[in-house]
Amino acid sequence: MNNFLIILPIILPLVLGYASQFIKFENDEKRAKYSIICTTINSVIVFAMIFMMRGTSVNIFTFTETLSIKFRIDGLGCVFAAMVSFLWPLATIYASEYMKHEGKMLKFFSFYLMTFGVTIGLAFSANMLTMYLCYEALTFITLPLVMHAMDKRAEYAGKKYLIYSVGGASLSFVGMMIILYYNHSIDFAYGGVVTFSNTPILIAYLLMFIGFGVKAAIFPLHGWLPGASVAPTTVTALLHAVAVVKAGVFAIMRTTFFLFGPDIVKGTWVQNVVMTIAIITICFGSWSAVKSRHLKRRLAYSTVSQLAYIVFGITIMTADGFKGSMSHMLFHAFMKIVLFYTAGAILYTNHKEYVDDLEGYAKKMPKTFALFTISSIALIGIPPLPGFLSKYTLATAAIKEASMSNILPFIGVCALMFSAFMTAIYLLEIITMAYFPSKDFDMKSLDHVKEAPSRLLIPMAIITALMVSITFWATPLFNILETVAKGGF
Amino acid sequence: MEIMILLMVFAPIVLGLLPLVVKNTKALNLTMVAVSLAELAGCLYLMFNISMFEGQIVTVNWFAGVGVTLNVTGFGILQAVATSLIWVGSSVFSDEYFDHAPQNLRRYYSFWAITFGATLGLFLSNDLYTAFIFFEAMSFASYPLVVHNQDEDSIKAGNSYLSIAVIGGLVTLTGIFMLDAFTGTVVISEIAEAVAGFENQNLLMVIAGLVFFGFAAKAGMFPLNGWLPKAHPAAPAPASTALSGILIKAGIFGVVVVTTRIMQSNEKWAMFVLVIGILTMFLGALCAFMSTNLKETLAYSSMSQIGFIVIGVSMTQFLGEHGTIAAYGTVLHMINHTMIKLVLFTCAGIVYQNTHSLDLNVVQGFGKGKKVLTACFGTAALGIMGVPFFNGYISKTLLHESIVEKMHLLNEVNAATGFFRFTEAIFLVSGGFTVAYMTKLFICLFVKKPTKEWNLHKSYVSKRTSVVISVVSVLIFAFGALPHQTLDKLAAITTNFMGVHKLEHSVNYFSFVNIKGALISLAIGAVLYFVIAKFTVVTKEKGYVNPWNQNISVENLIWRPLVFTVLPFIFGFIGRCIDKSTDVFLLVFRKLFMRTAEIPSTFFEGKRTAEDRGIESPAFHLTVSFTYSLMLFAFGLVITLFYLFLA
Repeated sequence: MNNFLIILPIILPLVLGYASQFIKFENDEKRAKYSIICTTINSVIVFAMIFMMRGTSVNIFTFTETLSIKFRIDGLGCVFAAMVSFLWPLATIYASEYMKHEGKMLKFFSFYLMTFGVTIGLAFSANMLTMYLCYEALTFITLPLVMHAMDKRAEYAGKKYLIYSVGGASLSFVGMMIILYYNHSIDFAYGGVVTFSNTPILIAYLLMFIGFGVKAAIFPLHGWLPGASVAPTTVTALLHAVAVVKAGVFAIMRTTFFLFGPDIVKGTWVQNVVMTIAIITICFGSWSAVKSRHLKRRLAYSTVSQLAYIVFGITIMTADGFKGSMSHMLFHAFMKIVLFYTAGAILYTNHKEYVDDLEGYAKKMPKTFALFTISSIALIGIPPLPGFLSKYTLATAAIKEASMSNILPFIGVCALMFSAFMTAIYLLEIITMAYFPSKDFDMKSLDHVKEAPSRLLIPMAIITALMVSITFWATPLFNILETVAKGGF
Repeated sequence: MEIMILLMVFAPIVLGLLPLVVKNTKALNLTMVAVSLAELAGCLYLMFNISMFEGQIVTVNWFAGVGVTLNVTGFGILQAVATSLIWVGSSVFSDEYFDHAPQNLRRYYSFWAITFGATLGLFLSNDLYTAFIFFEAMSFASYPLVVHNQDEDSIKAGNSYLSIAVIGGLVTLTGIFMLDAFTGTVVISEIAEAVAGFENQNLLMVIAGLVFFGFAAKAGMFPLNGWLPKAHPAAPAPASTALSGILIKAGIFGVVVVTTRIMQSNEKWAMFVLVIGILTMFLGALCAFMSTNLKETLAYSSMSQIGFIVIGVSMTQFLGEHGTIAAYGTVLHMINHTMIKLVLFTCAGIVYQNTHSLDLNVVQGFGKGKKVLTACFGTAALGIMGVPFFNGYISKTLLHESIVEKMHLLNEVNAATGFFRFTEAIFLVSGGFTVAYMTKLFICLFVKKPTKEWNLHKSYVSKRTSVVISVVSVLIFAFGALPHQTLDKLAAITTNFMGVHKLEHSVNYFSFVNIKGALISLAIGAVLYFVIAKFTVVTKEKGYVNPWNQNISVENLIWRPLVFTVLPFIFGFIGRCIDKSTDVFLLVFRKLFMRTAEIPSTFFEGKRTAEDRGIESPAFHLTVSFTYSLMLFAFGLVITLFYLFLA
């Protein structure tokens, strides 16, 4: 009976978030505080569960023998839930300041809180059906956030997001049906529950990969992500760098390692297909980012390419690759959220959106740009910051699988290097421009530029500090991830 | 002991944070001088007791996931001593140099300290992974030093510097990955053993090439040299000293590791390195000869000396067990070049802080009657020319000797010696060019009549700086005059790292055979300067001219168009296609069912200038136009026809 507690962190934000629409707050400040308190409590609950209730499961509802709603706390779920729960309260603090600029606080905070519950539900899903439901719910609950501005542009982006996501999920659904047809279980178990391999099973894997890949923004279904950068920065940062896109990645991890099992797919044509998709996305995402002059959009393309790193790690289909993927999933969340937040801080304080406008800004916004620089250097993968560590793990995992007859993993490593170079270009361009304006640049024209308010800076600083500190305790962290990647916990 | 080594590497890196709290730049400078002196003392202590500490491994497991391992090797510690020497000299000089341009000094000192620590870490690293970490840290930390002035030149140079650092670093990293995957080790001392049983020599060659790439780029080896003559002069003088004196040696460190460890006794590889070395040496010397800018000449000179060193590395491989002379020559030339460049760049800095120019036509005659400057510059110039009794002579003689030795060995087995004969000739000619361009600089600065009166507010150089450069100049002379007591001993401690035996019987440096080589170079140099230069680079009418058209360079002809025009076009095109690949379906559906609805624009992209002028995308006109309707109509017609035919 105690196990029913698992659904507490899933239900609580949904209820509190929905309720907040009917509570009359004196002002938006109070509403924001309510939100911050709710998310913090929920995060504490999630962390408590991760430490105390690992391994427990609960069956909520049974449709048929094979179809049921079931939650379980396991290693991979813990990693994802911990990442999300750490970032969500900080993101809400950031939002409480930032949303003053966007307005419509009621709608925003309500859905923002509800999304938290659904994301945790996704993390703790114990079978395919539950995960599928949470995945769909995530799409619908985040839709109002994407369309927040409700102008034509936002509506269009929202519709596009909806069509892509629902379309993708339907592919996954077909895949799930194929599994159900051949197997009688869709419960997740490490190493997979699918016992034999034939063409329909492989096709089912491909369908699910592409279906869930929509949220992970893999080529050719990445189109919604750069478009969605019309949403408020808080949304783009938390949802499009952490929760939603990582949900896609997480779902692919689940399908690969817990439903099919890597052995079924490894060495078949499907592995080649998915790995090729990942490699193309890595390269394409990063060069599109270089091309883009709009800062948030550039970061969105960067996300496309970085997510593909994670997906590439999964497609290696080994425990090492899985470990690399998880580490990059974590580190990328920290790095990219800070990058988006700095972009947001610039937009909020000084209304600048384009890269070209940022010349000399570092002098006026030293703190913001210090954080931006640290995160950029980490994202490029300059040692010893964490971005390097995860890329190193990914690349070594890939190289181990490369051989003369199978050079695809090696091409992947080259793609990682190419992309790292592109990352360097599109981020260092901004940094060098902001820190080293050319000599004839008129610094007086920047007199009105202000530093971002501390309520924006503090969450960013906390996240950056944690990210940098990973350098010093990376070994225990990687040990944990290794255990998870091998099915422990 | 471990604590001391760790402190040596990490203390300067941590010190890089000091400028965040301390605002007084004089205090920062004093701290830097004190720290560099302490480092120098520490390095010297380790060097003199190297027999005790060699092979001392320090591991820091908790750092950066995979851990960092440091190892005291003779070679490493010798370079660390050189690094500290450079930092002492340049830190002392920084104080007065920046009096004329005090902006951004805190940033400068911060990165100055970090670069110091990273460079020491690189030389003391035990495995390639650690080396890579410090290599990248060094490259990035030195970027703010290059762009310190923030004028157009330095920013452009900085961009080249940064991109070559990133590209080089990534290529090297790929190589390190492959090395790790295929041989199972990246520990420098274990690589040789691990590759011994490796069958696939071609694969090994690829790995070596990849690792080599980044280090070669950092060393400024041809054809990756484009950034060097721009970045080194663009930096402020104390930073140029470090860049030219020691950071390029970091590249050599990698070249040595690749050549003596991964590609041990592989003649093809040695030949490849030799050819690159020859090209670097000759082209560097030629460009230095033609340059009309004081610091640029010195930068090209560094490139050329790197060529000499690289030839030494490859000769070490060619000679195998007889490679001691070549190894000694390589190591000693590295040390000598560091000392010489410390003096020369500091002198150039002194010239610049007084005249605010580096153009030879402007600064000519500046040094006339300035005794300390003349003496120091002269000593260093004689050193690099390879005149007997100065240190450069010793190392060049050893390098020359090693080429001759190889020819002897080939003669014994009656093999063709043609290529090495050619190498020797180029070696001597490049030596001649060195003589010519240094003579040119010396005569320009100290013999020619001044173009104008320099109104010097105070003495042209501070006491402290003149003490530093005098001491180093004395060392340059002392090392050259007493090689057996000094340089031979220094080289002897590096034999383990270079993989050679100790020298059994010392070389008679001042025998006629050896002096002959130097004399030939001096003669070629004299001819070049006094005859050929008169028609080309030192003309009567125009003064110093550079006959080479500056726009013709590998960078301007190939790299820049490729990177800025061709690649962006190709990638941009593919990118757009991929980007719209799925949207096309949406677009078609939308156009079919909601004919009139316009697609709301998302963000403006592409070249902003075009959008500012309000130019819309051609696709927009296409989709609303009459032609488009016509196209859809035709499309429907075709389908109907098909249906009719098939039915």
